[in-house]
Parts: sequence; structure tokens; C-alpha cells
Amino acid sequence: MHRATIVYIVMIIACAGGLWAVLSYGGTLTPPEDLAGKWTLTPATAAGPFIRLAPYGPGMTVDQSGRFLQIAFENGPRLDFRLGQPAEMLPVPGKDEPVERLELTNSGWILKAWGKPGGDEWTMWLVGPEDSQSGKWMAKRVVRTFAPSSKTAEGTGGH
Amino acid sequence: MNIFDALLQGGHNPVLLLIVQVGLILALSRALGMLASRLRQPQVVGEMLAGIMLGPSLLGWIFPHASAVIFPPATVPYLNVLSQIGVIFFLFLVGLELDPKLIRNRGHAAVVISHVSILAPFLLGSMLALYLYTRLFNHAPHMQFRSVALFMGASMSITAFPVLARILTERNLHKTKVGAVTITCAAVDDVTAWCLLAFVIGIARAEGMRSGLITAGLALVYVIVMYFIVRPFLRRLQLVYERQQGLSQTMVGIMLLMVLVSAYITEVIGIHALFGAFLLGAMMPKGSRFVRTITEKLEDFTVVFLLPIFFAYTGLKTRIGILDNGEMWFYCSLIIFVACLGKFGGSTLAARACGIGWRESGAIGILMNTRGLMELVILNVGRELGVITDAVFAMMVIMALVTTALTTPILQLVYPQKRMEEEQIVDTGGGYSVLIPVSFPASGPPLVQLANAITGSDNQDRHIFALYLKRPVDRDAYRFGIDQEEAPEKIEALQPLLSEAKAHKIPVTPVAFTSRDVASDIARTARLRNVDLILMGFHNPVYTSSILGGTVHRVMTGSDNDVAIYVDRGVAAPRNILIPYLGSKHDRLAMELAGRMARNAQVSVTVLHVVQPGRAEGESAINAKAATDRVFNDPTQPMPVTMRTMKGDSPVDVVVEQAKEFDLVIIGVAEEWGLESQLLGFRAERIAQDVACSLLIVRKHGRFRAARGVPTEKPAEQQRVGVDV
Repeated sequence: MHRATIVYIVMIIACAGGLWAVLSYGGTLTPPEDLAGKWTLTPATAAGPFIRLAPYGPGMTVDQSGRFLQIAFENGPRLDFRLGQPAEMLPVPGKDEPVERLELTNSGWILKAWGKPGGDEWTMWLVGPEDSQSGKWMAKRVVRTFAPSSKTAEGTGGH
Repeated sequence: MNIFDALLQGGHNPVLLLIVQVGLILALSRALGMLASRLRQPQVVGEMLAGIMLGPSLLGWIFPHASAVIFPPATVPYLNVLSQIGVIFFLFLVGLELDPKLIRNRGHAAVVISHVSILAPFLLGSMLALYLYTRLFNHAPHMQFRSVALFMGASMSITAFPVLARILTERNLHKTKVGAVTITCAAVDDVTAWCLLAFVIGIARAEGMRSGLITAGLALVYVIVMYFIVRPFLRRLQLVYERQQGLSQTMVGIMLLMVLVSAYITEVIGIHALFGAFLLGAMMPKGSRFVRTITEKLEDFTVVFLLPIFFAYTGLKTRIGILDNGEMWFYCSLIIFVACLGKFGGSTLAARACGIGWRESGAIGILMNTRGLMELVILNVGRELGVITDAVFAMMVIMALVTTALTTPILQLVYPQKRMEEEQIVDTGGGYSVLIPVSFPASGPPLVQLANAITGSDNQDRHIFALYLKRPVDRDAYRFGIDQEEAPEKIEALQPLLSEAKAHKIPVTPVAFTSRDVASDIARTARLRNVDLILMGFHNPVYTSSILGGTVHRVMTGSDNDVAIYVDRGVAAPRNILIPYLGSKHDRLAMELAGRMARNAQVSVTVLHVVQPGRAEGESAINAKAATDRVFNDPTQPMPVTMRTMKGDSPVDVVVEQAKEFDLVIIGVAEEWGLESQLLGFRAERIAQDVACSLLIVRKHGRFRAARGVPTEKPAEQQRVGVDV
């Protein structure tokens, strides 16, 4: 058999086998929850004499590339976050479906988010370096960057 | 209101805004493209950089207000539409110039290397997706692992055929084994990569197995329809073109419509509009004037106008700033590393396994690693589909830029020009050989007559090469053009020379190739062809009136071979030759050439020894006589050689005066004649300007010949010489 033919056959077999293995194993992986898109924020806690809330919103844009997120608050800062720990699934009393809990960190900032996986309604709690930079909101996604139904995605752009 | 607002009327006039945007894009793209060419980089590298510079990575970062005014988000869709149309027509051109001849009958090695050069990066790209999937991708509908892995694989396995072809042509590699194998592999890669991409798009867009199968089935049906129905129709169009002896506007309209319809159908099927345009181009009848005319009609507008908009649109979407931490740059480096490992490593090892030497295998691998514009096309498709995130998009754009920019310098390192030249040296045997570079067609006939007189019509071992160097044109950056290269004997500029040679039965070998640096390539060809003499005409440089300026000067000073510059003043066959003699090695070359002409063409030779008053003439006269004896020592010499000694304050005046009696003056370069560079390269050149007859200015090098062990001077023997004082 020609030397080139042997190389060719070996390569084809290796590639087919390798690709099968990659796709099989990769199918079990789950990437970070997709939060990319445009959101509207509604304060979840009313401000009071002892509770100072960050006056951010009502709009929020999230650019996301996997673990790396850039969140721009309307009337607020643009913050880079990194998804530190793997997402946690928390059971909800009285409900069959658990909620997902994410914790995003930046130097001095923490954003905690709870919501249904793949959903568009999340609770977000921002803890800033100062009280006036903190707040808790009900967030509703109005535009998805990576839309599920349309054939093409052209929204805010991911991170 | 600042200057930008004023220029753009506050952005209220979208047409004005679009004109400014496109103007800016074109200007920067051309400028950086030219700069890249000067730096011996593919032009596309500069154009890609221009696009990135106009986006948020530079303009938006340094001048955010100017960026917001010039490229407001609301107008970006206009640019997107223009860029998509540009890429559709560009892909049509790519398909149009894809010649099946490149793929057929190229041997086992080329087939194996090309397939391995796709499979290896495809597999490695998919494996890289395993690592990056949980780090850089979102849990979004179109980012399922299957789509991501296949897309990463497809995007890693692309090769930019047009850029590759340009690099091969510029380095004159396309006729070497490395070039032939590489170009075949790149052609196969191109077809395979677009088919792979169509497959990946089908998978990514499919909503379930049934939908995927329908897409695949429809795509197959479309290919069959194109092959069995559209292809014969295109052949009929070609016949109409040939009958009409030209491409009518109606036919151009039909072609444009067909491109758009084909793109529309594949978009509706679900495998992207680009594939339809490429497929239609691939179906066109190849190697015909018809295809070439269509290419010429579409190419300039597509490549010069629309593609830079595509680069700019890509740049507007590329945010290198988001790679703002070490971890991101690590992933970016990993992508570049894996891309190079797959493409370079796969191609190199496959070539080596097929028995090609390590160095040549390395060169093949480096060339195949060129991604350029094609990578950007694929990345934009991926981004548009939502298969990749912005960070991955930016990293892959950087990867495309880096792999393309690295090609030329690393190729030079692994497969240096000198090495390549060593392999190309042609043994011309023992006969005298002359290289005639031809720039202007009219200069060819007298040069070939002169070469005939020098080499001798009875000499069977002689070699005369006629060289034509084609300047690269910008469009070559996007053309294959390799197999369409015109045969040297059909090149228009060489026709007068070849006709003259044919009429006088002078054997001439035509040589032609594309050259970016004409002077260096003339010198290089002379070295490779082992010639004894470069014989060339002159033409006035653009900015000076110097005869020995520009390319002529560079060849004279940069060549390792002897050089003769012919200033033709209309004598077809010289009968009387004058050699002004000062005693330099260049004068001895002048004598040698005159001796050859005397033997071969029965011309009479006069050696003129000029003595300035007050200088001792005895010794120099003896030297002149000895040199004359050495050269004209052939017992069969039919014409007597005359030696003439003249006194005069100005040697130049003496020569100008004496030259009136002769048909041709052969003169060695020397400061005394004003033919050597003096202060700041200034040359008086009066002798060249004032001598009434034709002039052959010669410069002896002989380094190359000496290295080959060819004696440059013959032993002194007695010769009958008449002395006329």
C-alpha cells in the first residue's frame, strides 16, 4: 500500500474517532448561564431611612462571554464581572423546579442573581463598595443577545 | 458643534454620513494595505488592521466621541448590508477562479496533505472547544456544544487561498514543488472548508434532527440542480459570449441576478447565502475568456470598494478591549497556538510522512497556516449565527491577523530565498549566455541582435534568455492567478524580440514572472540562470535624465554578473567598434565583448588609449597593449585590431570626438568618463549623452563566475595588433 494512503487512512480513523469522543464528552458539559441582553430593573426593596439604594436603572445591558460579563447600568457604572464559582441549584419550597444562584465578583463588587435557568426573570442583588452603590432589583430581560427562535442573533453583542 | 458634527451635519443626513464612513474606510484601507505591502506583508493584513482601527478597539477607545459621531450604532446596519453584498460577490469570485485542474491529477501527496491539513486543525479546534466551552461560551440556544465544536473546528481549518497565492507568486514559489503542493492543498481546503461551514451552519440552525436532515437534503438537491441544470446553462452563456465577442450589459445583469438568486436560495435552505455565491462561481466554465471578463467586471468594485467595508464592519464588531485580563489573553494565546499546531503541524507532518524533506514540509505548513480574509468571513458567519461570543470573536480575529502576518517572515526563516534559489540554479553548460531583461517591447530587437553578435551564431552551447518581469497588481492579492499565468512566449512585451530572434534563427528562451523588485529579480535570475552577461536597454527614470539611474543603476551595482547597458542610437549591425581604454577591469570586459563581436560578427575594433598631458604615458600604453593582446589572441581573428593613443585635456572630449567615426562605443564604467557614482551618487554622464553613435556601457563583476571556477581572463598570447599613434 502507498505510504500516503496509509497516512490518509490513519488520519481519517483518528479524526473520526477523536471527533466522536469530543462530541460525546462535550455533550455532557454545561456552559455558564446566559444572561446576555437588555434588561429592565425594578427595585425589589423600598428605600427607607436606614436603607440607601443605588439609583441605577431602569435599564441594564449585559454583555457576556461565558464566565466574563460586562454589566452597564443605566444611570450607573459599567462593571466587569467574573463568574467565580459554579452555579448552585437551590430548591424552592413548594415548587418542583429549583432556582439557579449565580455569584459574580469584581474588585469590591459582588452581584448575586437568582432565577430560573434559561429564564428571563431574575432577582439581582448588587453589593458595592459603599451602601449607596448597592441595591436589589427584579430584573426582566427584554432583548436576548443570543435569541432562541430567530435564525440569526444580533442584539447587544456578547461580552 | 465640533468638526465631526459640522462635517456630518450632526448625523441627520444618513447619505452624507455613509459617504463619510465609506470614504474614511477606503482611505485608511488603501493606506494600510500599501504600508503592509511595503513591509512585505500581504495587503490584506493592512486592510484587516484598518478595519480594526476604525472600530472600538482603537478609534472608539481613543476618540469615543468621534467614533460615536462617525459610526453611530444606527448606521452600522447600512455598512453591514454593503459588507454582506461585498462578501457574497467576493465568494462568487473565489468560486469563479477555483480551477478543478488544481485539484485533479496532483498525486497522492497533495491529496493526503490537503486532507490532513483540514482534519488535524478541525479535530484540534473541536478539542479546544472542550476546554473553552465552560469558560467563554454561554448556555444559549445556538451555542450547543455540537455547534460550537464543529464551528471551532471549521474555523481553524480554513486557509486563505487568495492570500496564499499572492505570497507564492511574489516569492516565485508557485513553480516549485513546495508551491505546487501548497496551492493544490489550499484549493482542496477551500472547497472542503466551505462545505464544512455549510454543514456546520445547517447543524447550528437546525431545530432538531428532522430539520437538520431536511436542510442537508435540500442542500444536496441544490448542488445537483446546479451541476446538471445551471452548469450547462452557463456553458450556453459562454457560447453566447464567444459569438458576441464581448460581454453585454444584459449578460452582466443576468450573471449578477444569478449570483443573488443562488445566494438567496442557499440562505433560505439554511446553509447561508455565501455558499450559494461560491457554488455558482465554482460551476462556471473555467479557463475561458468569459470567466476572465466577468472577473474583471466585478473584481475591482468588489475588492476595492466593498471588501474594505466588510473589514470595517468586522472591525466595528471586534472589541479587543474586552480581553482585559490575563486569563482572557491566555485563552487568546491558546487559540493561536492550537490554530498553528493544527494547521502548521498537521500539514508539516503529513508532508514529511509523504516523503517531502523537513524544510520543504515546514514551508508547506507555514503557507497553509495563512488564514486572512477567509477566516474573517467564517467568523462573521459564526457571530451572526450566535455560535460564538464577542470574546471568542475578538480572539479569533486576532488569530487570523497573527497567522496571516507571521506567514511571510517565518517562511523566510524556514525556507530562505537563498535556499530556494540554490534549488533553482540552472546549469547552462559551458557556452556563453546572456540575459536580456525587456521592459519596453521596442528595445527587444536591437538587444537580441547585439546578444547574437556577442554569443556567436555558430555557437551551439550559447544561451540567450529574454526576461520579462510583470509588476504585481493589487487585484492579485485576491486572485489565484497561478495556473492562469500567461506562457512567457505569449507575453506581448516580448513579441518584437522573439519575432526578431525567429527571423534570424537566434535561439531565445523567454522567461517571465511577477516581480515586486525588478532590479533584484533581474540580478537573481542572472545568478540562477548562470548567465555571463546581463544585457539591457535603458530608459530615462521618471524624475531624472540619468541614463544609469533607477533600475539600471541598481542592476549595475547589485548584480553578481557582468552587466552591459545598451544605449541604442539606431545602428542595427555595428561594423566599427571603439573601446576607450583606461586599464580597469571594466575596460577589459569591454575588450572581451568587442573580441567576441569581432570573432562572431566580423567587426573591426579600435582600442583608444587617452593620455592626459603631463602624465607618463609609457607604462599605461604598455598595459593597454598587453590587455589588447590578451583579449584578441584568437589566431582565427579575421579583423585586425587597431590601437590608437590620443592626448587631450579632457578624456571625455577625446572620446566624443573620436566616436564620430564609429558605429558603437563599448566603454567600461569609470569616474573618468563620468559613469561611476561620485559625490552623493551624482554622475556627469556627458559621455553617454554626447556620443553620437550607439553605446554599450559595461561593468565587470565576475564574482559569480569566479566562484564557479570559470576563468575570467585568458592567458596572454601574442596577437597581431596595429599601433596607430
